[in-house]
Amino acid sequence: MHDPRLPHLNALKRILRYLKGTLSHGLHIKPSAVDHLVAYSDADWAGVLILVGPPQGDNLVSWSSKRQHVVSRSNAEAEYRGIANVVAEAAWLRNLLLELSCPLSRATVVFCDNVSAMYLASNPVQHQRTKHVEIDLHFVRERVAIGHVRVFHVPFAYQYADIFTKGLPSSLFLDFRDSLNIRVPPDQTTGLILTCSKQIASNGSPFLNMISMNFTMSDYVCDELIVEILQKLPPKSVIRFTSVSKSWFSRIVCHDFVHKHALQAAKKPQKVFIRHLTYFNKRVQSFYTLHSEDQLPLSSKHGYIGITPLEFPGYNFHIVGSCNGILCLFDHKIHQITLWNPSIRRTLTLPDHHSSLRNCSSNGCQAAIGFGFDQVTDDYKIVKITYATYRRDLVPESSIYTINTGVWRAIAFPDTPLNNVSHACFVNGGLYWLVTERSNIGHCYVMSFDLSTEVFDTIPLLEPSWEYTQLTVIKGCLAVITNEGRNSWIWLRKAYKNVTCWSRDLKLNIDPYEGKISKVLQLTTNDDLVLITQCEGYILYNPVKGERLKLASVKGLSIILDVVSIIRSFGSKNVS
Amino acid sequence: MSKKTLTLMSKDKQLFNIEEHLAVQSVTIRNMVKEDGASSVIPLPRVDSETLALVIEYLNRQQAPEEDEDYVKKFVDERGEIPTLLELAQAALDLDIKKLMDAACMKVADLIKDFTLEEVREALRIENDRTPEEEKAIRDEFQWAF
Repeated sequence: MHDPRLPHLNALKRILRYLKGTLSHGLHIKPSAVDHLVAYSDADWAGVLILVGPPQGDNLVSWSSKRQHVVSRSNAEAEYRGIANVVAEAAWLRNLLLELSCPLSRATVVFCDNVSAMYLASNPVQHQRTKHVEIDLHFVRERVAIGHVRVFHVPFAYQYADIFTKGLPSSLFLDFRDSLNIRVPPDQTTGLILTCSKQIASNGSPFLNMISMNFTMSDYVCDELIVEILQKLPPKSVIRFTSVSKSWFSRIVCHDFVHKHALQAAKKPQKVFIRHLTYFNKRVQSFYTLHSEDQLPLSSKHGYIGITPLEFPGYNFHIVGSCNGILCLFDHKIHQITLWNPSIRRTLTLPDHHSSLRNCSSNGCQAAIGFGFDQVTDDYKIVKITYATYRRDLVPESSIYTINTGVWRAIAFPDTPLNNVSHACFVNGGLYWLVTERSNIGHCYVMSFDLSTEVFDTIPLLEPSWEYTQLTVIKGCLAVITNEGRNSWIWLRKAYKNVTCWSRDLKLNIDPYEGKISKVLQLTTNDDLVLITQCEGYILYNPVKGERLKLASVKGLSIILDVVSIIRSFGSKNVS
Repeated sequence: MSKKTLTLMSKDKQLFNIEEHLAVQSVTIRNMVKEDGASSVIPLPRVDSETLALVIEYLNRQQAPEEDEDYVKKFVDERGEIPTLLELAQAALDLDIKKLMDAACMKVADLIKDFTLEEVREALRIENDRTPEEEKAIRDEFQWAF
């Protein structure tokens, strides 16, 4: 183009005129099930064209026209090179579709108009004329052999790829262009039909009424909106609505939906889960009730109106932790761990873990369990520490179970003798235990475990000889409770300018009638705390106003056994 | 400083004026303004005039940021009809006003959560393409949810 002449200008003008005349044209892509790929290849300058979809409603998805960078010795070689390009492009599309989870079951069909090239693709014999064709081009044969690609001949009149390589007669050109879905938009006709049929329908013909209904049905509410609404429903409704229609079912069961639903659920206020134990019909029974945080049961008369008690999986279980709507339960008697999602009523029992310390319960062998969610690997992890209180020669062991792998594996545990390990707290991606040292009776420290790096560490307490009763989570921070005579203090572990330290946050007065405070929990988003006291049981305490209200149990012979906060969610793909 | 106003056109060709600094709460409109200055009328071919009037009422709100959550909630609560809410949610989705869309969807979810399957199909106009056997299979598997 270093020396443009009049013919070039004319050609350019022609192009501009064509563009001006076809301004309203566009590439039309219709929704259709992706079933197989069809590709057309023509070599001259090696035009490549790929169509996908069912034969009647093909959509053009990929096309290219480029000058071959090597001069070919024969026409067949040029065509064969074209096929290789098409197959490479089709293989990429196939992979892309596979990643979008719609794998193609049928082979890619490649049409070319050169018979020699067609034979060359399927017949793995060295031909006299094609000795020089580079080996890399023969990967087409491999694809044909494994059934991913089939090469067919196509007559000139249907060789759509010609549009990219040759100057065609205008009738053929227009025909091809139309076949490739390059068209003028169908104008406002769809809208017109709709209004017409609606007008007629209002005149009272039941048949036409039905037609107009059918017309609006599919797009009355768009897909995106339906998914948004479904994500905001409680799990119980979502499960019920799987049988609304097939498309709702497929939307709900996909993993992405479960994940997004969990994100939505995390934004909603948590529910307070109260576990009760009752003695009824000469049997100990365990059940639970769910309460919204502003309606905690403060009297046994009114507190439980409109709340249905539901069955708890077993009364031997002790609640280890609650995370993303899943409760981790531990049966002390048979050392069994179960994950339970009360929202969808599914349980997952973890396989037995055989620890060498397990069979020595006479030695005071104990297990401390921690349960948490690792955001890095998108996985739930359960950590088990087994230790023997009375036997100095037995070294503590620890192992971890991840839901994704489904097996227990041992992890390195710091070689320190333990006297007692508290229940675990899960906060900000880490598990924490309050540990009493054996060598230095009465001295405590906090043991931490990072769920993503899987490393144990220790956090010193302020003054190891103080009386620490419990580790808990308050205001999203790790907290310890210390007892000093008649007062208890809550200490929070907070970060100030990159330095994390303990800071005294709140004083709890001990009421002599209530006895010592054995546990402090924060279950709600307001300031209220739940105190568990030796004499009075569960007390809702507002530290600002100083109010104390007793949590009532269900009428009759029942006691409150556990209180945790929980979100209603599907939890995760594996436990759902 | 004079406040710039934009003109929005609904599906039925009605025109609505709104100040630019309020209109740009919609990400769609913000992008349009950024791209070409949007000096002329902005057509919204999928939104009818009643819904657009609601959206504009919402955009014109004069609330302090901390009261905003409550206002959005109240705003959708006052329009408790499912068809109106769906239109509103659709418009908010098209215009990319996340808060309004979330609130409207939340309200719809609240309204339909205890509906029977038939009521859901009717409210959202969904065709039942499940055979009674398939429906029963799901019903049996999750009996407690029904």
